[in-house]
Amino acid sequence: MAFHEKSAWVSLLSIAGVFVPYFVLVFQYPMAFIGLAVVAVILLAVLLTGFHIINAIMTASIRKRGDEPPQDELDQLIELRAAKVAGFVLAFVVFGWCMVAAFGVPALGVSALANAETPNLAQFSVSVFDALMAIHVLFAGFVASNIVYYGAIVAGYRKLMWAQP
Amino acid sequence: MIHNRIRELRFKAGEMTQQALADSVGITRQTIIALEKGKYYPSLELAFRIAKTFEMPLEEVFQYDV
Repeated sequence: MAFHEKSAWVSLLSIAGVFVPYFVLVFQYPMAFIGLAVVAVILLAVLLTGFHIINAIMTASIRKRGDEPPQDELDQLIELRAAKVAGFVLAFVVFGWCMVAAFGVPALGVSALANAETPNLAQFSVSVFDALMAIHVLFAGFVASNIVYYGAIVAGYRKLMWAQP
Repeated sequence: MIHNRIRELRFKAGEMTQQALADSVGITRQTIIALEKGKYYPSLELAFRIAKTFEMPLEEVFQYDV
């Protein structure tokens, strides 16, 4: 397995393994996001650093040259294709979130104030809970695009290896 | 469609390993495997470097079929 493919596998499994439980917990208990975020970041840093240390020791070219192998043109092509796909995912999430925020929030405000004696849209406010949830939906989209990025890199390498001659 | 004779020429060149060829042209062994399987077409520069390693003209290493 190529060094860069191994790196992509570890990044994919680490991000998915750390952030899927993070989002499951944070959507249940949004106010605990600071502590959960600290734990998630530390865990991710430990996993990725640990892998790179082990991989550096195990990879002969790193032992010889003291540096990770440079990307060759095929590695760069696979990464560019993955970045394109991940970019679409991120753009879709961000655009969708903006559309929901732009139209959904005023719609919520109008419906919330519909029965008020003196409706005034300027008086409508969003709770901290709802704001945190909205921010985490956007962050979840960013994490999803990262998962798609590393998944696309892995798929690119696997497609080459499983292809019939 | 581009075909190549990299695998055949490697064996003719004193049974050169994929790793040895990869090191001589500055790419990874996985890229050599992809080239030999026909799943990747090299850049022009890489094609020239491979041909130079085998000391053969480009057309002897890579062939284009319509």
